[in-house]
Amino acid sequence: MKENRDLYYIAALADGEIKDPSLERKLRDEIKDDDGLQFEFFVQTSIKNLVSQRLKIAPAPVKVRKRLERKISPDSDKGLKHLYGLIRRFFR
Amino acid sequence: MFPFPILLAIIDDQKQLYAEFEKEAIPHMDALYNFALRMTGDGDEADDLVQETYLKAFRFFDKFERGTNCKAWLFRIMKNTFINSYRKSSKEPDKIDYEDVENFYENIKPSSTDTAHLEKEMYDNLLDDELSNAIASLPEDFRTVIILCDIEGFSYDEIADFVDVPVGTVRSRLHRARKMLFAKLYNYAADKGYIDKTDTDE
Repeated sequence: MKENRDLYYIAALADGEIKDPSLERKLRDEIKDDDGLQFEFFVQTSIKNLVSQRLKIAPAPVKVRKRLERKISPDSDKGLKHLYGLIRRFFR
Repeated sequence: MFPFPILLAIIDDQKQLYAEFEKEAIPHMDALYNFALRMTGDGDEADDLVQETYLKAFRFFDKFERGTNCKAWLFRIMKNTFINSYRKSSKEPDKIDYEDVENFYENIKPSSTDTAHLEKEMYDNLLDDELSNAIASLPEDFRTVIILCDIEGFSYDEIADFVDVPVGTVRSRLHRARKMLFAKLYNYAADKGYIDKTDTDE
């Protein structure tokens, strides 16, 4: 069995992160000829696909957005207070 | 005479800054919220973490270099905020017990494993919540790289910068994290009867 360090490149192959084309070719050839490496590649790609496709991105709660807007928007009371603070400091 | 033009200029500056912030940073709020939720495991803490992150980001937005990766910048701010304020204190670094995972893979017979069948049996019956829980049960280092790579789509270089480790470490963590997750999901599917363990065991 290959050393773990070499196996880790299988994750990189699944992620399109092998920057050296000759290394990528070498890895793909090795995977083709080895059941163990094929299984390793299967685990990496299937988990990656599963996670990226199945885990739904929940929208941030509206209250989080609104609370933030109240604090930083120039159109909010707090925003205006911040603005006036800036102006007062400017004229000090 | 009251310098209204200067006042207006200041107000315009602030409005413009906010408009730029709204355009560049706010669209990433969902991604940040989901990351916060997965890291804290608590809705209220996630809300607060997102809030604090955005307030800090706004405060320093004039220092943000336009045209660079705003999402990565926001995630970095969130990471530091999480470490400083939300990560449970006096917790030993995760000792990753990888022995069970290694034992699992020693029992798998790749040559006799029908991966297409296995994938269908394992994943088709898996509920989204169950997958979510499996990811939540991973050690923090593993969970982080899975989220950043497979959900958020960051590159290895970006993840390495974010987590402050070499790219090689990102690579090895991802490799091991996915193997650990696969083993968890496999065992879960076997316990539920979705797959027959004898398909892969000796």
